[in-house]
Amino acid sequence: MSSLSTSLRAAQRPRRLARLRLLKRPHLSGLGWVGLAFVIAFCLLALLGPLISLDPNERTGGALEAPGADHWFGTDDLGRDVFARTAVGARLSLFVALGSVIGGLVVAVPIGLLAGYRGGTRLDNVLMRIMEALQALPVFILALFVVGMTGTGSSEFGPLTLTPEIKVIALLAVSFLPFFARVTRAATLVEVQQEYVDALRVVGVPRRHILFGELLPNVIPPVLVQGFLWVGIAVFAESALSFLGLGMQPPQASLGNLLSDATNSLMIGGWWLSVLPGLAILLVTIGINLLGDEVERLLSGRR
Amino acid sequence: MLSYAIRRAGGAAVVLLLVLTMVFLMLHAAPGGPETAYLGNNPTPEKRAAVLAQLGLDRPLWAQYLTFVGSILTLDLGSSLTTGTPVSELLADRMLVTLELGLVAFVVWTAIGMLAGALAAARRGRALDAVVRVGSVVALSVPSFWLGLILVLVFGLYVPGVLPSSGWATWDEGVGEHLRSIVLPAFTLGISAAGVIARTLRTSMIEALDADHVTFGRSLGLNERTILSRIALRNAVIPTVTVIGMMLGTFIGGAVLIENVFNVPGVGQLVVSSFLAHDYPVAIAATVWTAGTFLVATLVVDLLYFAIDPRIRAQFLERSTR
Repeated sequence: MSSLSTSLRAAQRPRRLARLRLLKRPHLSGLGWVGLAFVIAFCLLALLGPLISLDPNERTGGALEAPGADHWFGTDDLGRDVFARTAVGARLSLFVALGSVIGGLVVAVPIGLLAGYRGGTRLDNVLMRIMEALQALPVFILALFVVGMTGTGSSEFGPLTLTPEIKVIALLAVSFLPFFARVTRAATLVEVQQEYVDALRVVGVPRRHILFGELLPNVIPPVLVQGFLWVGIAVFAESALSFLGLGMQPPQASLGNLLSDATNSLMIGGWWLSVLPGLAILLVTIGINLLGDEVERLLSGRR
Repeated sequence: MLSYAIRRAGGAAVVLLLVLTMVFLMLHAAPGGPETAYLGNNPTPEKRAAVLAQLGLDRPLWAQYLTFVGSILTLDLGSSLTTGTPVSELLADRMLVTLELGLVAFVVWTAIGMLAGALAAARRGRALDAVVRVGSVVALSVPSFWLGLILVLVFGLYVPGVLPSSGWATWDEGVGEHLRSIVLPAFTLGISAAGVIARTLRTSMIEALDADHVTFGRSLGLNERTILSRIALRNAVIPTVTVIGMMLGTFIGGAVLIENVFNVPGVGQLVVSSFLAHDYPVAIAATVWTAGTFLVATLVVDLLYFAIDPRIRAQFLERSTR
């Protein structure tokens, strides 16, 4: 039995390797390289920016100084360096985005696998209806609910302390569930049709092993591409939540907070306050979309 | 068609009930429970008990659940805690604004997105195609609320007087004023959906143009315009309708952001202000309205799907006669 299962697995291996090889030797198109450059630039801003910049929460210049040699992105109405605040905000956004996408995937992939494996059954139906209900609540409304009920600061849930960061990560992860679960389910529905799955069932391989040992590795590449694309959406969603006053709270700098602060100085000519932090968001969302297209193209083998 | 519509509507009703259940559970899972909203700071135990009894929160959970669902289904939504206005009245004014804004943005941007996608596919590999490809990625990537801020900055400060950068003029204030006040919010609301729609239509039209029957049609001497509009577009529009259905959420969820940027008095602005003011009757009603609108819109797109694709119709008939 185990030798049959080994040979079945070996039969699956070449396909997996072929996919990996495509990733190792990237044939990026022009737009793909632009995307890669944007993503790297954002990561540099997020990871190196805070190290080389001034203190983001201290007064380091006059109020509302335009961008110049001392303050690359200018200063805000309290004389704080906008580059430093943008860099710290980018780091926070990146952390929240990665956390929420990984969290969403960890929960949604098993749900989608199970729903797809039992496609068309009552279990599949129930799981997908729950996902639809989640999807009908826009993330901002879900966030308003949770933040409205628990407050904007840290809150205690028994032994757990939920900081605003953790709350936002959890909220975004929950709102991503329907999308990730659906992608996983769709890929699983196709994969389950393959003969090797029937063969595994016939020889009595436990369902847990079929799901996570055999189906998961074959289903995961398109799901990971989707997950990658959603990192950009998560950066946007985090900044939008903070912009509405539901995410990070001042004086903590986040890309959304910076933009909501900017509305105060909008009509007295502080253009850099609203333009520059927004460009940082745009950099990463465009970069991820362009790069995601390329990865999708390479995975599907289209030229 | 009718039996299909009834079945889909039944599915949507089940999902709406699930949404109500989630809202109810979230209210009760919050620390302090839903009564916290009705109590001031440091309430005395007597006051807490009085509020509990008044709201019926001392009854068993299932009884509260039935009352909650019943009151929403019968549109008995209570009144605002801050102003005392009946919630249904508050919502009625607001939802017209949000629906109009969403619908205008949806119609205009869907048309632009489809036109751009179709043109790009027809001029594949040429300059126009490149412009659409880059333009659509930028459009779908741009953070809507940031774009809104930039537009407020441009039209409010640098070129004042061209378009109103904030607020909402009602029909009573003149048709021209009204339409002018929709332009910027609608522009901002739909741009990302248009990017996605353009990309999807372009991809599926290029696939449709590669099909053998298109080559056959060309060899028969059909002109390119007929091939594009009668054959390729009709086949390519199906996946695009799916994507349009998925984009409906961005119009409804996005309105929450956009209404706050442009100070538009719609449901999106109401839902934020009522939650921040702990005005729960209003907040719950606005939440349920939002979810309900999303479900109805999704249902409409589903039915549209059924109407435009004879294959789906045939599949459904085959299944129901079996």
